[in-house]
Amino acid sequence: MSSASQAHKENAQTDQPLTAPLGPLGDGELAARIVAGDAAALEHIYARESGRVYRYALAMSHNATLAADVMQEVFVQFATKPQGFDASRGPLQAYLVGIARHQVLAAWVHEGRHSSLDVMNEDGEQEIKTSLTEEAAEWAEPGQQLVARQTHEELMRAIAQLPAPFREALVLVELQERPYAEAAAIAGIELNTLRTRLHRAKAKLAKLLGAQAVNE
Amino acid sequence: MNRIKLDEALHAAREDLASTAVPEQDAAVAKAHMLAAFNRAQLAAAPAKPLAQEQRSRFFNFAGSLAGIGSTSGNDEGGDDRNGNANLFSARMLAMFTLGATILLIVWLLMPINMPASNSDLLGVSSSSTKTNLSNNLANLASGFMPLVDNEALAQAQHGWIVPTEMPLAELAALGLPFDASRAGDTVRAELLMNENGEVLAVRLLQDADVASSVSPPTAPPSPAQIS
Repeated sequence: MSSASQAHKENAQTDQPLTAPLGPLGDGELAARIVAGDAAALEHIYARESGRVYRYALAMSHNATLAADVMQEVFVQFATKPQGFDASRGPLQAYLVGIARHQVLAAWVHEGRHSSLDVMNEDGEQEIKTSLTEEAAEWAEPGQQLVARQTHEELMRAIAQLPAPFREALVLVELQERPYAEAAAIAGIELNTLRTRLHRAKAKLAKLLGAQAVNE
Repeated sequence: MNRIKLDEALHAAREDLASTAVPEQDAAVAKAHMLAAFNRAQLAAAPAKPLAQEQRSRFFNFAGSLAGIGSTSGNDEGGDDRNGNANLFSARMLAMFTLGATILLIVWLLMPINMPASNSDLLGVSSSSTKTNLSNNLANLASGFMPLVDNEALAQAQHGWIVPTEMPLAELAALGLPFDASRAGDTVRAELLMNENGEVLAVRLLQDADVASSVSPPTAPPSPAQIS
């Protein structure tokens, strides 16, 4: 059993109860409070966002230990420099996941899985091109392909085999249900690029899972 | 073989992922590190103590009034008097020199008082800290103080402060001490041994036994012989 499957699976949607007075405050107001030294606001943000950050890192890395480390580092960075968040540029959730993304990439570089952080940026398009199979490109609607029924663990393992740019698009849009615009902003790519990556991610995943045509 | 559409498989994966919570232990440790980092950042960004600023301001006003250059009695508007006003120039120079020398003297006098206070603000230190001669407190060091610096640094300290405080258990992480993450929200009474520069040299926990049992010292307390 992999380390990812050992993660707890209870009360994930709510994580921890929020502090009542801070609930109605927007991201900008909460960040301003943290900058002013309000530890309660920081704990409120942690209770609200830590689960999402963790799950992003877990889905990207398929490694519960790395996901926990990434989550910790994200909030240590945010606690150290909360003024780095600009509410006019997007929601705090996306900002924190952006930090997590950088941490995941840094961990991969450290592990020697990738030589640079460009792997998931525009410079990494070469990896996308070389990994795209012709069969996958032919499928207009890969999401409608029939695949062998998988356990969660098997499916996550297959997702982990996708090239990082594909995997990121799939995790952000399909698994975390983020709006396309927010997912594109987190990944630092154009909207159309995100759509293309998502389509190809599904096609490649279908192939990995032994897809068949729907009418078979 | 049982087959489903890929979108359905992804939907199931989405549901499973959404029900995955952060492991409790990891969540507690991460939160403790986050709060410790937050406190360190707040301490680093803390402005000078208002009282000290007020004292300096009072002193400037007092000295300025003595020298005739107080903000309300200044003669910047009297530009016509500059020519040949050598006495005023000399008075200003003398006043500035006096101010500078006195400021240095006051800073030197206040330094051992203010520096520990700036560190203790963060930790909720009470005002009942006591100055101590470290060489006379070897018994204390051998009876419950956990050293946070090496013995050489401890031996070099001549004078210090024993500062009573109450702190969250999570703050122990900031001091480099292990703690039971499941009790991160509990508070603990402790005494900090600080040197004259405000650095925490050792900590002694004063709370009840069950809380103490959640904390284990990283190393054995030094014997008096080691410190001397």
